[in-house]
Amino acid sequence: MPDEELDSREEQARRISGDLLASDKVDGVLALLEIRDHVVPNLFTSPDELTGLSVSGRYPVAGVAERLLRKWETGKIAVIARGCDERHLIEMAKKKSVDLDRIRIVGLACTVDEAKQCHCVRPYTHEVEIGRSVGNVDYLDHAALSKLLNMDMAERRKFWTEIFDRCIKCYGCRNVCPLCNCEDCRLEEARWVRVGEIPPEYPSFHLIRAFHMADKCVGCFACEKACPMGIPIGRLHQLIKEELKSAYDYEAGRDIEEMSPLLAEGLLGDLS
Amino acid sequence: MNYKTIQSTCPYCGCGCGIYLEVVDGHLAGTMPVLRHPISEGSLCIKGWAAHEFVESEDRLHHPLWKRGANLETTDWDSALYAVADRLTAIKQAYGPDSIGFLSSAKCTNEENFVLMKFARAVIGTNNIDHCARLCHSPTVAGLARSFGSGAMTNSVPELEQASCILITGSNTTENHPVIASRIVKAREKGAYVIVIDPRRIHIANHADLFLQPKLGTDVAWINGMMHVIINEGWHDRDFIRDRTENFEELRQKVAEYTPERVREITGIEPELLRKAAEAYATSPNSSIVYTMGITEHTCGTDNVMSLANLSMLCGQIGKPGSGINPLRGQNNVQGACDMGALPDVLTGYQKVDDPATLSKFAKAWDVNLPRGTGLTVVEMIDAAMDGELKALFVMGENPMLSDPDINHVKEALSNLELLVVQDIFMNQTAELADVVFPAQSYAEKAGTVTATDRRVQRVRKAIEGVGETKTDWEIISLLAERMGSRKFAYETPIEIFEEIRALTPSYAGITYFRLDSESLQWPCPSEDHPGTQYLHKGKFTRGKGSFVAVDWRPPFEVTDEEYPFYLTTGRVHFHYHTGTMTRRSPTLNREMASAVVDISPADATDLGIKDRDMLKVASRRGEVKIRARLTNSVPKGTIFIPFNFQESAANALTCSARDPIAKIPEFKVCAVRIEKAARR
Repeated sequence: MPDEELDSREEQARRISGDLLASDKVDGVLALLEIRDHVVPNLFTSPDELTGLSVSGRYPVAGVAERLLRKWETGKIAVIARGCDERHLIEMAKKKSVDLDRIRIVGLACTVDEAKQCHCVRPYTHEVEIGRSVGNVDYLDHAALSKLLNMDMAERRKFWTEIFDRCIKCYGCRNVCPLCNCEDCRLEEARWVRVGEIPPEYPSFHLIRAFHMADKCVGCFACEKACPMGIPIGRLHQLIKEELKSAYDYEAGRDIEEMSPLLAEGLLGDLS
Repeated sequence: MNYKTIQSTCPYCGCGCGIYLEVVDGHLAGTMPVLRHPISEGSLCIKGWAAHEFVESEDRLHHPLWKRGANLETTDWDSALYAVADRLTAIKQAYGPDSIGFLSSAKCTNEENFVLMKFARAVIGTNNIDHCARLCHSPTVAGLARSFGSGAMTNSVPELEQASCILITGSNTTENHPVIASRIVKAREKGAYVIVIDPRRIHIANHADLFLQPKLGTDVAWINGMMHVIINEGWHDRDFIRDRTENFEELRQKVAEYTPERVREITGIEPELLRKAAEAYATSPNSSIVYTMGITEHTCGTDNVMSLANLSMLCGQIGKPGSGINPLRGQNNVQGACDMGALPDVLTGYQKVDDPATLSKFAKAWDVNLPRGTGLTVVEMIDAAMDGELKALFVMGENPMLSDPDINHVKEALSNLELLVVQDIFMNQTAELADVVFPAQSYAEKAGTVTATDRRVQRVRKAIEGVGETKTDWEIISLLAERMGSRKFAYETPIEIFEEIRALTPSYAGITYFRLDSESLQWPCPSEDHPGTQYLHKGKFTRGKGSFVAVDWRPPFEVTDEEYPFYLTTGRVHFHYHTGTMTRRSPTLNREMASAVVDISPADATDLGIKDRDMLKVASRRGEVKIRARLTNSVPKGTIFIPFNFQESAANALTCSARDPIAKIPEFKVCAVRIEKAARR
């Protein structure tokens, strides 16, 4: 019974959050709050607020966690995290943009339906505390992906040229992505992409983004959902992800110790 | 540690997208899209994503200001309010109530527009109230009211995805209504045939099945031409015409004169393309028309709108899901400002000021005698100020010194007033001329409702405390009313104002804050158990039978000549909003576009020896501006485009104030100019 499962996940989330707040182990719990018909990211700081805490719906909360911790400098928060949220946080920790010692990840397992909606392959966290892991699945839209791959070069060029021409430069794909967060965004620099025009220059705008995300994307598809023009950016990232996986057995967000194959030791130098 | 997100409605265009404002320790920190929103469905455009950026700008107005000598100096609320109350009272006594005018605001909430409208009529006693809808969709309100009996978007934004053919004309949809453009692109993915008819090759033309490029100001001609072809081919809907319309014979005779060959002479459109557009529109099961200022901002704006109405009725393409006429409104609450009666001829819900029953209803509610007769429109107020008939002007959240045509004339007129009061969140070009400036609050600092382009009423919620000593617009006007002796403005909350609105307005009667808490509602919504109205004119037009109005093409007011050989057309750009008071303070948007450019065709540029980025001087009979060139094929040879968002290159220094005889809208879209390279500095 999906309803029962949902209830029990919500109860579990509230109980764990309540314990964490009561024991002062964290200053707040970042989770979703249900208001009216919507869920919004919210920082719960007292146990009495937790009745509104929801685990239905999804919002990439890792970016919010990063911004809050940067603003407050000290303190610790818990994050009710799905598999993708945890992978976001791990990638951020690799770049040192978050300190995982300041984050208590509370793992939330997604249901089968949720995993399907997101084309997920790993709808669980390293340690699941809320819900039950459905294990490794494969809800990728293989038909759509192979359609893209089976095009010949001329078709591909036509397809991507036309579909990127729709772009209205809302930056939604970047804004919604917790990992597309360089302090100085190349997409905003006139030397890389002419400013003040829609569609933005092709292919520089989209190519820069694809390169930057190549070894970071955890495959959450939030970018594709935020795109007002129906550009299949998530699928593009997925294709690049697959390449990295087959060539180097690398997956972003899987393990904090795992270094991107695109960051060869010699190139990295003193940055490591 | 405090972090919360507040759901609100985007403060920019009329799409009505859902936003979450992120609030960290009492300050705005970000904007996010509302995932399950009926309009925006988890997306936003660049302006929406940046909606928080201008709110807490350092240069917000924090205190009331009044003129001392030549300067505006800081004062306190009591002094400023009493000063304005005294002056308004004195001017009213000396010259009569009609010597005072009010400009309301499509950026303010329904509640605030209602309160200012009530103040003008019940406290001052004048119908001289208008707002910038005059400068955008007044021909829609007038034209569609005459054709159908109701001047609003007939369908809903989500319904566009159900259309099988979409005709976009005079709307740069991807730049100015991006999230609605998203619906059109999705409709095309589902098989809809998209036709774009525009003098400029705009972005959405790349995503259309058919693009027609008429000359500026020739819309009536191509619309009549399409109808000519449709009738000749027998593609018109005879049943619909017989059952639901009147005056068809008159229309038939008129459009018979518009043969495709004659239409080509006037518009430059090839007969074959005209025929293709006519066939697709007429024979598709669910056709929708989408238009904006390219249709309305002409001396023949009302004729253009009625022509589109003729076309839709001729083909029976109205009154069905996904099929109708869809004027896209430009501001977050321009629909609401009209609905609230911030217009010189109507009270709320388009109830006429000369209707005795309406007058007695409002007179009873407000316990006053109400003024009769239509008041002055925006442009007429400026002229009356010039002539010395208008002595005082009260401006709430508008900037006529940049938004009105022929701004040199506007400046002279405003300087001629005895009293100019401006209520705004920022100092702007109009406020600089004011005698008193009241500091108001932005959308993020107050609660209320706004009405999106598809008649959808939605909530705006307070996310942060007002900066400085600011007050909401409704509080300021209420305080002023009290100081002028009225006891009918004792509002504690916006809900009380809304309750008064719905009690007086049949189309809003069923809308309550409680219902709006969890859903949006589209008017007409006559009772609390009514679900709201998704599309208009189902089975019957508001006025009964739809009326065909036969109209002839007339050339624009100003045509090119030897001295002024180029056509100038004006509009908005994607990255900025209207007079730029909000967007130019937003780093994200300013980074994209920090100054204006004039679009000029490479062919004209070659003739004039102009290169990309050259500084040009563009002059009309009314003024001149300096502006950099951008070479682009989006404009045809002989026509240039300047956005009106930038004060230092103000397009409206050039435009002319010739106006539509019915709607009084100025012809922003056509005037004659000359171009030369500016001298090197």
